[in-house]
This record gives sequence, C-alpha cells and structure tokens, in this order.
Amino acid sequence: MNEIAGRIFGYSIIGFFTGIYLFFKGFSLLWRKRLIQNVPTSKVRSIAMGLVELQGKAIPNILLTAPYTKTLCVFYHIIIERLVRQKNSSRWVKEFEVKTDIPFFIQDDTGCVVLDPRGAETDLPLRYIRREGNKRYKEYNIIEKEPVYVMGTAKRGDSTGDKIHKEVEKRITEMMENPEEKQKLDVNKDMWIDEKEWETARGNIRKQVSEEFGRAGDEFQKKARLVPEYLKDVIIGKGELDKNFILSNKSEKELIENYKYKVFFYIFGGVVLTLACLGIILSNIVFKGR
Amino acid sequence: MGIALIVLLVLAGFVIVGLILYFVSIYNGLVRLNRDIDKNWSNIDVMLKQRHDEIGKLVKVCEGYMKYERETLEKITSLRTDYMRAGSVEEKGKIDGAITGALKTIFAVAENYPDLKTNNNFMQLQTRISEIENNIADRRELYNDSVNVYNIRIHQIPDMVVAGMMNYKDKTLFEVSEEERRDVNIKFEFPK
Repeated sequence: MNEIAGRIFGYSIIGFFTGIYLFFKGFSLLWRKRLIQNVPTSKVRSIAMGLVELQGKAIPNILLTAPYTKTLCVFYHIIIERLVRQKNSSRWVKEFEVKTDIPFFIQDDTGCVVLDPRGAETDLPLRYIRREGNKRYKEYNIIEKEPVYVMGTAKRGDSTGDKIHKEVEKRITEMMENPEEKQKLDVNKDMWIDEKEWETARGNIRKQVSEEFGRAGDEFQKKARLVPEYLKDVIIGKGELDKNFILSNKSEKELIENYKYKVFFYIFGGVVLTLACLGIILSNIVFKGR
Repeated sequence: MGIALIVLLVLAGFVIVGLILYFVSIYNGLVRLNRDIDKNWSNIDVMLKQRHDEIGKLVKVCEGYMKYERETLEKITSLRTDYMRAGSVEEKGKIDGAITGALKTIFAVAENYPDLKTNNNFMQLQTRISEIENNIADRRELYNDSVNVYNIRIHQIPDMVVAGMMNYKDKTLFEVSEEERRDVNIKFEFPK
C-alpha cells in the first residue's frame, strides 16, 4: 500500500465512525425538533413550573458591552479558535469560550420573568468574526429588546430570606477561618468569644447583608417592574431533570426549519459517509489480500 | 462475501436501526404529549380550585350588600358545588364558562352598590379573581394548543401507526362555553 492509499484508508476509518456518529446525532436532533414542535408557547403571566417554551423580548438586568463589537447587549457568547495545521490538513480548535451568566428578563405582552442563561444551548447568528494570524475571534450576542425564543425549565429560585440566610452563614464561616477577623469579635477581650458576642456578630452581619440585599433588590425591582408578584422568585433556566434549555433569537418556525435540514443532513449524510468509507476500507483490504 | 454484499448488509443495518430509532422517537414524543396534556390540565385545575376558594369568600362579602341579587349569588354557589362534582374536561369546561359568566354579572351588578364597590375585601377579591381568570384563559389556551398538537399528530402518518398501537384517542378541547361568549346579562332588581 503506497502512502496515498494508506492516507485514504486512514481517512476512511475516521469517516466510517464519523458517519455513524452523524447518523445517531441526526436522531437526537430529530427528537429535539419534535420537542420544539410539541411544546406549545406559554404566556409569561401564566407559566407553570416545569418545561416551558416562551417567546418574547430580551430585557436587560445589567447592560453588558460585548467584547468585540462593543454592542450593548443582554447576553454574549465569544469563541477564540486556533488554527492547527497537520501534515496536509488544518482545522480550527476551540481555545477559549465564554457565555455570560448574568440573568436577564423575557418579556411578552402579558409580563416579564427572569431568565438565567447558565447552561443554555444557544442558537444565535454570528455577529462578528475576525482572523488574526492563526487565531479566529467570533462573537454571538442578544441585544436589548431583541425577540428571543426560550425553551427551559421554570423553577422557584431561593427567596430573598433564603439568600440572606445563606450569605450570613457564608460570611460567618469566612470570619471563623480568619484569626484576625475572629479576634475582632472578642469585644470584652477575655480571649474567648462567648455566646453573646457570637449573637451580636451574627446580628450585625445579618443587618449588613439585609441592607446590601435591599439596595441590590431595589435596583433589580426598578428594572423588573413588570414581573408580577407571584413570579418574583421564578427563574427560567436549566432543569435538574429536564436538561433541555435552548436560547435563540430565531423564531420557532425558523428553528424547526433549521432542525429539519440538519436532521436530513446528519441522518442521510451519516449513512452515505459510512457506506462510502466502508466500501473504500473493504476494497483496500481485498486488494491488499490479493 | 463480496464488498457490495457487505455494504448492502450495513445499509440494511442502518435502515433497521433507523426505523427502530424513528419508532422510539415517535413513541416517546406521543407519550410526552399525552403527559403534557395531563400536566396542562392539572395546571388549569389548580387555578380553577383557587378561584373556587375565592368565590366562596366573594359570596360571603357580597351577601351583606347585594340583598337583591340573591338569585345570582345562589347561582354561583350552586355552580361552585357542581364544579367539584364534575368529572370530565367537557363538563368542567361548561361549568367553568357558567362561573365566569356569573362572576362577570356579579362584578357588573356591584356597580350599583357603592358601599360594596368601596369595600376593601371586595376590591381585593375582584383583583384576585380577575388575575385568576386571566391565568385560566392563558392556561386554557396552552392546554388547547397541546391537545391540538396531539390530535394532529395521532392522525398523521407515521405517528398514526404508533398511536394506533398505543390505543391513543382524540382528546377534548377545553372550549369556551356559549354562556361565556355571550355579553353579560345584568338584571337590575331595585327594591320597590
């Protein structure tokens, strides 16, 4: 077997397994497409806990500046890739990736709800691409008031009381681990922190944390005036049981169309690729045998 | 064994695996749709029960003021009891429509009772019931959307075959009753 034939044989083996992967991936995309088709869109005002599909506008909690386009946005996703050259081929390898995790709001004509984008599978248009040497910089973002499609899990987040309690406990633990801070609690300087001193310290921390949360909460409330009272602690995010969490600025129809082509390409492309590669592998083996 | 035969066998393997996966995806999709309908119905039921509780309070508040609207109050109380006895979606839908109609009448007639209109409890209940009514309307829309998707799916090829094997039948929409569609009929019964 000469060098070229050997290379073709090698690529065929890779192609064979890639084809099988594409075939199965196609079915997982088909399942996803059917899910998007099957779950009806909820109104924000009446969302129930569990998997929901929402369509509305993205309203910022904090306006972010996208790193490359410098656009003011509610969410961005950047990727830095490096060109890796091999003998006769080259490919882009992901070197760095960031998706923002700052919550924002989804607003439709009935209300507004908080969306936590952590763990979302995004389908956004490429807004920026630049090549510099062997590196490539890409940016995807969602700008303020841009229409968005979300399929995620509606769940109850911690109430403000729970958050304050957790923060107080966290600060007390930090204080206990720091000898200098711990010494400050010994008000009567008897080298011993008694129950009363602990209670005073805890009370002070709780007061401080409550004030901080109050200030932050006021700011949040100003921006979330449209969030109805009963939705204040509801968050749309990635579920613990249902891992489906899609965030896109395409409409449901566009998403389904997109999936349709992908499913076709993956399933049939996978089969064709596998069979073609198998043919090459077998003919190589047969010829080698002769 | 020739190369062509092996390739054909692998192709047949793909077809078989593909068909199995396709069947599984249809099966799972239909199961999910069916469960979603139940879940969406439960979500409506929760709101209907909340409204049921609020109606009890509303009738109590109104009783003291709307002495001449006994018929309306009695009607809503009996509808409330009927709802608790109702079993099917169709039945519940009909009673829900009647309750919504009766509530509209109560709120419209309340305009003639200035003391009631300014009563704090009444105002709170009116706001709360309006919120619940909006929620019921949204959830009804969602429920009907899921039922519609399900009903279409089980009649489409190839889902129809899997649905037939699972013995899945059409589901009933939660329709707006005639009573709810009609304008509010306000009967003024001032004392003579």
